[in-house]
Amino acid sequence: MLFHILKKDLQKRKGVNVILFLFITLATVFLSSSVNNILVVNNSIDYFMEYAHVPDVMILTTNAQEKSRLDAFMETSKQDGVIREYGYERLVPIAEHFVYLEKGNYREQLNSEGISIFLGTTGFDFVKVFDENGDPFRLHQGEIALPLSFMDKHDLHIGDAISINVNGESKRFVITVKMKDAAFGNDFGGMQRMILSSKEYDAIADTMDCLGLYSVRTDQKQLFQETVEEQNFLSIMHVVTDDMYRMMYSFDMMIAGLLISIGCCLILISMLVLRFTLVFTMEEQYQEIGILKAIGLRDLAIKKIYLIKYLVIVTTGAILGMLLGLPVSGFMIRSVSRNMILESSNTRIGVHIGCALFIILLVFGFCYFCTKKLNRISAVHAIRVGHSGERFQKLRGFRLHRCRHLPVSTYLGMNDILSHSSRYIVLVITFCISFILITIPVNTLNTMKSEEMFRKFMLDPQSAVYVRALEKNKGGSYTESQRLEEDVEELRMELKEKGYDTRLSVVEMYFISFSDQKDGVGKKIMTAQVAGEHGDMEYLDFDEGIAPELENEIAVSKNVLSENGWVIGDSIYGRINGVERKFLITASYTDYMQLGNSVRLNAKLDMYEETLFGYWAVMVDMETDLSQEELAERMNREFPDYEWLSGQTLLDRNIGDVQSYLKELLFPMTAMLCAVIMLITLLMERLFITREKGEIAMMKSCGFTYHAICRWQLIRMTCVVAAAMMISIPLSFLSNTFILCPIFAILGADIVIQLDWPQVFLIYPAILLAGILLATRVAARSIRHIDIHEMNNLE
Amino acid sequence: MEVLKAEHLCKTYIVNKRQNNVLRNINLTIRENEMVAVMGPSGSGKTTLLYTVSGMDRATAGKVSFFGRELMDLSANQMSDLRLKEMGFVFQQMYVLKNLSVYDNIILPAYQKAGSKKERQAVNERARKLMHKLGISETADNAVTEVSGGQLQRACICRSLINAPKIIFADEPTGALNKQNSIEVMSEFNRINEEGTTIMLVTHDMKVASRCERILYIEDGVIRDEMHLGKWRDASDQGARERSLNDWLMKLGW
Repeated sequence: MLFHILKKDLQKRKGVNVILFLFITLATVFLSSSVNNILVVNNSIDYFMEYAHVPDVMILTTNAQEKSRLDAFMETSKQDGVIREYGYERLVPIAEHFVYLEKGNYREQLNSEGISIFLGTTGFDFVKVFDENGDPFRLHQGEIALPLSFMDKHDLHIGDAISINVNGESKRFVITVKMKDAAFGNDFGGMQRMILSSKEYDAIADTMDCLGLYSVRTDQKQLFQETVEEQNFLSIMHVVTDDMYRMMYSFDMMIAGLLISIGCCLILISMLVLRFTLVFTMEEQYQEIGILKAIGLRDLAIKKIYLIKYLVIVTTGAILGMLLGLPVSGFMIRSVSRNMILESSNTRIGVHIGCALFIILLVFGFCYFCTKKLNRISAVHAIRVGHSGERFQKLRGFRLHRCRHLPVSTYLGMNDILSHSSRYIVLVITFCISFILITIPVNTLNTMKSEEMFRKFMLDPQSAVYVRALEKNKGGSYTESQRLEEDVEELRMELKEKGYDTRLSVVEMYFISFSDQKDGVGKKIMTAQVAGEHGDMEYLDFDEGIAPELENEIAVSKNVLSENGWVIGDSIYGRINGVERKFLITASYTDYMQLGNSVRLNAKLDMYEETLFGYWAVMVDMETDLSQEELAERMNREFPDYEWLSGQTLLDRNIGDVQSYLKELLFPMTAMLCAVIMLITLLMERLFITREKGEIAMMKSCGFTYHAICRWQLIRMTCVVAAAMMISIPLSFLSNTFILCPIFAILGADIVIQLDWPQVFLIYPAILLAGILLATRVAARSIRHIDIHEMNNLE
Repeated sequence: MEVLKAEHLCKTYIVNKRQNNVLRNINLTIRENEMVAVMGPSGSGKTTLLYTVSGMDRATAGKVSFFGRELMDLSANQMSDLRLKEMGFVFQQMYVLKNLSVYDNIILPAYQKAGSKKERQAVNERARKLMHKLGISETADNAVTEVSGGQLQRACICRSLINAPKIIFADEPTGALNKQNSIEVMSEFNRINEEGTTIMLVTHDMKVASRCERILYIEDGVIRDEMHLGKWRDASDQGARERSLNDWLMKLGW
């Protein structure tokens, strides 16, 4: 009897068994390879940082004016024991328009997409560079080494060349090394290095304005940073700790994290399906269970029949998944090792075995939990096919005779859902998960395209077009606002000459020390000021208060306010043009400038003596019927000396082209979700049809056509999808609040997640619905094979 | 008038490469308003005969015509249409939709046929009359689990009659019922037949068969003999009908 039931079940439930097996296999592959990847990356980050001598703190300075003061400060800090050691190197910044890529006969100007490019050499004591194999390398004259990610991005190969314009003279370098650069090799850092031979590098560095790079080893990062801030060095542009580099490499774990989430979803769905099939099988085999109980078998002995079957499926699936996970793991590690030097690139078999065991125990434990229902069934109850003898049964749903117009198939589909809602819970949960998963990238994309997003980057979405690279033909980067504003005015005149009546604005950025006490020690905060047309900053959002209108008024980001315990109405002191000035905080806001840590000054305040850190794009306002993209294309043709951009391109460059990644991800993700839900639907629909064989046969005998019965099944599934969508809508709002908002908040600002209602609640649900209905229709083909003449044999 | 005519009907099943001739060259005619019972030992082919002549199963060879229409030539949809409008079926197992009330189960095929509000109103009237006639009016709003087997089988008969079919095919309609319920159900069949509906039923119960007008005896896929008992009038001649049937069956080796 035991083997009879087991054999019967294995044969009858081939589809369910295969799908469960597949899900368990896939879940094990995803989980084991991703966990392994995360462990490898996590352990290797420290190793790589140490191996490459990445310092604890790096300080980037603008020029050599303060060098002796900075050197003295470093020496003192060393003597005081605040730092262990330090080093100083020069970095040569190179504007992208001075760099040309030569691929065979093809030559193109570099588009660095917002990443700052520097020249360096191999002899540095800190932030060392290595070749592909992780070994140090030497370069000869005329040779150059480039980061792997840079070469991949620009489709460069060994043997291609780079031409760099140095002081009006073009120098050509052949690429001979693909290198790994711990500090400057990652796209997310916003800075990349090109390495030259020391002789050529020194020759260039001696003739150009260089930046200074102090590399500091210290056990007291916090204390050292505070001490640096207290000194009020004007030439310090940027202070970076190794934590930032560690965080950058953590992004390599994102894909692994995503795969772990998918693996967890698959395990969850497998468990739901397993529960449904297990309960369904037990209900179907009540009589056999009853007989087994009646002849004296214990509950555990009966449970074994079901548990052994699922143990076999889960164990086989997990072992196969573990084996398949090994090459996947190898692939993931190879992919990570392109950017970093790993402590050990071996796949840890123990991790894979551990993950497989975890899945077996989890699913099997859940399976055991589900068979608890069997304890509650008495022998008599089971023999009576689940009926206790109680005849009263409250009818749920609604009555057919009250539906004067509803077609019978529609009625049956709707009534099924209302009568046995719990039966469809697995499907509703699966559809909900799929729906919510699809809304996340869609909402992210829409949010990134929103006008609010533009304003969070201090751009006016209503501007006609934006200009960058103003300095392209004007002798290098700006260090003072006056020169920048003169060039902006020159641009305006140039445009006017060609018949474009424009109003221009530019966001200027400084690093200014602010403190809440007079003569107090302040922190350097990124300070933005809009010069030109939008000087009143009316186009920007302020959460509380009003935009600064006077030169002694200031708006402070919420991050800075909470960090310093300041509120609107407080007065703070800032050292500007060498003089300490008192400012009144009039407003607060959140934005993405400097990860939400910034202040905004009114344009009335003249910053003539302050070192300009940089400027954001020039916003061009004018009357035009063209879109930003069209106008940018036209202006690039008419004014090739400047770089004309649409707002979206500008944003994409600034945030690492996340949009195109997401767009690329959207199709495979939709396809994968569709495939998963189609499999589940197929499986569940087949189980429903098996359960309803008698009813379907009866309907056929009454004259219901095959299509009418299919329609019933399709309408029922449509109702399930509709119910899932209704539940998903509030859940998707929750996912926006608890998943997307915190992700955007990491960048520094609160943002309203944009919902494109037709897209999110119509197009994507329609795609999922189409997949679900297709799967239902395929499964419903088995209705054809239910013969009426077999009706008396069905039981 | 001939309602159903089967000529040289053969049905063969091939199971595990073994050929099993279930029906062999059957010739059969059922006339309007007849009540015919098919009897025979287990495995003789009586149920297969019922399903083949009703078009629910395809014959391997031969012809079956229903009011002159060749059933073998009809498409699946045309057959469904025929079953919906002109045929009624009653089975041994009382198949119903469990999440529908007794009343909704009865009107189900009629609602499938009737689209308009007016037509559905007429269906409701007809269903109430039928339930009243079959004595199950009080069960209308009950769940199907709340009524007895006899009541449920009568509900199934109501369902088979709801579209006013020309013929009812019944496969062991009293097989799952106790004696009292069997009598009640057969009385209903007799009354329906009296009202003009042709009935063909399969049974191995002599009491059930004795209420029929004509009895066919099938053995090894062949109709060996048939007996005419005449129309059943009332219970007074039941004893005599049963004795005649018994004698006839004894002669056939029943």
